[in-house]
Amino acid sequence: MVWVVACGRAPMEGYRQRPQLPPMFPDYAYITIPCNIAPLNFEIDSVESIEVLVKGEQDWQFTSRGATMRFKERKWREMLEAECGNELIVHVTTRQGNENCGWRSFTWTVSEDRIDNYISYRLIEPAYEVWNELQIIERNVENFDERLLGDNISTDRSCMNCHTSNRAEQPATFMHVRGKRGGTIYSHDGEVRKINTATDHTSGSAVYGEIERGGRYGVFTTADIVPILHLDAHERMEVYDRSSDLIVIDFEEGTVSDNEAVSGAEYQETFPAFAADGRMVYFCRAVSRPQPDSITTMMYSLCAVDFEPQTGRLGDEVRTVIDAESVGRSFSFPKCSPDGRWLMVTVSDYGTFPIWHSETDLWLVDLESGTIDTLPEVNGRYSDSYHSWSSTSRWVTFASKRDDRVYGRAYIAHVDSLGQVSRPFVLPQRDPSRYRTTLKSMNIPELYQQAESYNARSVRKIYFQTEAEQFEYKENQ
Amino acid sequence: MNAPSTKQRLWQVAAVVAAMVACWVWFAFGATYTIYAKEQLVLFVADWAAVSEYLTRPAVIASIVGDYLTQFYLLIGGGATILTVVMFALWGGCRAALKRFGASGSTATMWALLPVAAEVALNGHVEYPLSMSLAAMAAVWSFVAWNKMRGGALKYVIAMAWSVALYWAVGAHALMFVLLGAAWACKEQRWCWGAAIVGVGIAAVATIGRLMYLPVSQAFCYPIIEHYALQNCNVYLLTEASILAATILSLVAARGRAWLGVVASVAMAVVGVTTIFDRTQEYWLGMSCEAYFNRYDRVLERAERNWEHQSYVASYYTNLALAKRGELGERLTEFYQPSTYGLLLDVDEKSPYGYVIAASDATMTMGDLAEAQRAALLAMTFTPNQRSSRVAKRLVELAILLNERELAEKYLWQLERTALHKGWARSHRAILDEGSERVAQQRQNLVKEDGFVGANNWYPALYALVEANGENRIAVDYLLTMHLLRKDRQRFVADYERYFYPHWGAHPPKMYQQALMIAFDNEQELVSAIERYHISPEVQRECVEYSRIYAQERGRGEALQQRFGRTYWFYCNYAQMN
Repeated sequence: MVWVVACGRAPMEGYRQRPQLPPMFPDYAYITIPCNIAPLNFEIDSVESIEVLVKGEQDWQFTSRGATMRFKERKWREMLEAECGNELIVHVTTRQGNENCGWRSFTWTVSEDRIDNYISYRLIEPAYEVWNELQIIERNVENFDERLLGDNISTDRSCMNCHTSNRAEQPATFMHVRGKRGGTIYSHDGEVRKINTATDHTSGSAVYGEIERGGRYGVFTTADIVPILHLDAHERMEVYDRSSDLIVIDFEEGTVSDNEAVSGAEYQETFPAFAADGRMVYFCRAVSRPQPDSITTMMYSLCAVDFEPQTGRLGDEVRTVIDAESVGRSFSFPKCSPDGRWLMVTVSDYGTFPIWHSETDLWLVDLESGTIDTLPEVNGRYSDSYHSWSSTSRWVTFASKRDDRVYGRAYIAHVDSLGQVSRPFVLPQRDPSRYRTTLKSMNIPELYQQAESYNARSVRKIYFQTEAEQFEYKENQ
Repeated sequence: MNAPSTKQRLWQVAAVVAAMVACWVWFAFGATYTIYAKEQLVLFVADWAAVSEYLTRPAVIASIVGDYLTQFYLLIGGGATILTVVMFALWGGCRAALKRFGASGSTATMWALLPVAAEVALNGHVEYPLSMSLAAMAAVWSFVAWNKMRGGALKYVIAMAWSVALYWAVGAHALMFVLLGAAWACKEQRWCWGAAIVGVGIAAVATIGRLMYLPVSQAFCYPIIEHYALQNCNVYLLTEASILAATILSLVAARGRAWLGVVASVAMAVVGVTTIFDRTQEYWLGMSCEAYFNRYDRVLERAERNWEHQSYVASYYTNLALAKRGELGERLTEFYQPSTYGLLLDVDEKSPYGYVIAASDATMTMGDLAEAQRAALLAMTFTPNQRSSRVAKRLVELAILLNERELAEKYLWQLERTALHKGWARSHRAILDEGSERVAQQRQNLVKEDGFVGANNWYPALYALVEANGENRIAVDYLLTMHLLRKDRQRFVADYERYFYPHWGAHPPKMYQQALMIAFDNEQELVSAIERYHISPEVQRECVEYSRIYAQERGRGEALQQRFGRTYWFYCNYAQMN
């Protein structure tokens, strides 16, 4: 079958049509994309040239020599602007030797919902809870610009993690830098501070957490974590908490407080997240059991506790939102959409460290009706976890190991107003083979609108030259 | 100055040729395994995305070319040849530089060997990359080219600009250019320009390093990586010191006495090599490399010398070679045994990466893929450049055994883009597609039931293996020898009875017989054990004799060492447990 294009440069002619989708890497077929996403460059192994014809209201033709399709950024932007809200049909043809191949067409739906401009993630070796060189990257999702927010080679090779933004108009962000001179790097209103959140009354420094939209309060886990190996090499490793509690940090007053309802030895509490209105904190809780013997019976329920945004006080009554035993899954990492409609949560068979659990999936909870969508179209074969909402509540990003089980990559999916989540696609790269050559995992991807106020050089300076503010413990009143 | 006679010229040529031959011989036969190990610490993937990673650090060009060429260290004599060619080019550059300073041809010829000797010595360290020698060569030839330029101030401005570009291109050895340039300025009595070149050169290192997020100390030695086995990364300054010394001495102290350059170079080479080169490491790297090349007979050939170069990893490879031949229970105490530390390697993020790379060999052989995988990922993470061709191949093998196709493909894709591992990658892609009998056999050894275990906690893993496949002789031998090396005779007897006796009890290895002879306190039990376990009359006689001498000498070990030093009884009585 010969297909002739009516406009644009002369396409490859006389090709053989194949019934399969093009063997693209990464797979960008049948996806919904934001109208401000960077070009979806892809590779097709062993071809000499690639031609892409995108048919929307207009026809858009792109060609590339070699096995990598690199879309011209300007033309790509023009196309997305012109075709915003349209479904595009994408025809890919390739040339290899004397043979031209046309592949089965597929669609791109260009959503009018813009995605937040920036995504941050950590690059770390997937080496079982140890690290050597790691970096926190801020990537502009509209193009391929990257900026280093942290590089541990310049901070005594200390661990860095959890760069998180509250996505407010005046954003507050935090990032933990461990090590001798480390602390929590807190940024708000252009001021960058280094804070020691460990107190005599709480078990260690802050770990996972969130900052409320006002930027004053943050709710965090403090945990004593222990890594352990599986005997079955497929499962790799497990991590459990010897103890874990929730704390509230008042960044304005410089205090750390807790509440008996969410601390103590009876339960383990972790992964706190604010509700959209800031009046409640969701978290995960399990009855403490001897570990590691009972590790496979540690089931974390999704719970909630009130929060008073004026005083920063956690309520005394814990409510179970979804009982882990009732659904037979253990919850972690709840995150509310900024519009307050949805809550996305990670589920796995047991425990509190889903990243190495291949069965780990994302679920979407409708906070109005309480219904759960198990997202079969979204979840991959292996671990999907550590998600983050865009400030518009229309996009989520998450770390997925679906491609090879070991190396995490940032995937992006669209969530429409009815809670329908589209097929996810991997964060595009200027050179897609970067995913093949890298030996680092991308983890804890985080979407936000405004570029971070600091960079790796300022973090180094803060690390070495700034004394950490010591926060005081405050009794919960 | 008189022109050298033909005879003198011949002597000079002979000296340089002899130096280069010595260089080749040294790297080919002296530092053989250090050179092989360097190749294993590199994974040069010929793909733009991988190559562009080099742009994030200084020494861009030297690192790319160096890592590309280091791949060929895998060939027999490949490393020696490449290094010799580089050293010859470095010598040529140094000679030309010395001549620019005014040294005569013969003096320059001989004194130019001094920095070459320093580089040869430095290359004897496993973490001294080829990119450093290429950088030295580039720096000295840059000086020669720059020095031929005409002009006054502009020439020095160019030198300053070039020192910045050179650091970006070749890294720390750009300092050679800076120092030679400054020396030239001093020679011309342009002191301020000399100081300016040094100032700009140092500022360039600090600034570019800072822009690329390197700590200052790392910036000054890049592409050598700090905080690894090379204790003092600034040791590369030996070459800088040598070229400066050669410059001064060829002009001042030894005018007309070229042979002094040869003496100094030989002294430098001897002192440098003996200081920098680690013979014990070369010894165990030899075992590690031979194991990597699957030549375990050569591992055992080297094993006898473990008493001379004692190390955990040498004992580890000795035991692995024995286990592969089914002789672990036969010959265990014939070799140096540092308790169980030489049986399976306890590794974590603080362990030397050479040990971590080695650690997966035994666990992989036994079928303990959980520990093998952990060690392999640790090794990939904690090698200086966080890339290793050897570890990538191990990760492919692991992924194939675990039937994790996509993961295997990721590493295969990288290996297929290397110069010398692509054949291996193709053959393993075929195994991935079609399977192989060996893989099927190895899969029989895998643990069937999951459980949890702390890292380096060997007993649960060994029991899981022998429970999963009772005919996994290597795992059974490791379990039993673990008991023996811990002097835990009760557990040895119990597990011998349970796991060894049913399958191989008819032919008990000598060491196990010796252990069984001393495992029973009750004489009646011993008599029945001798019969049940087929303990040979020879072992019985030796045991009686050992006991007699032991009693007679009141436990004095010296009396027993000659005859029984390599028996399990002697190990049991005299090996110190830490």
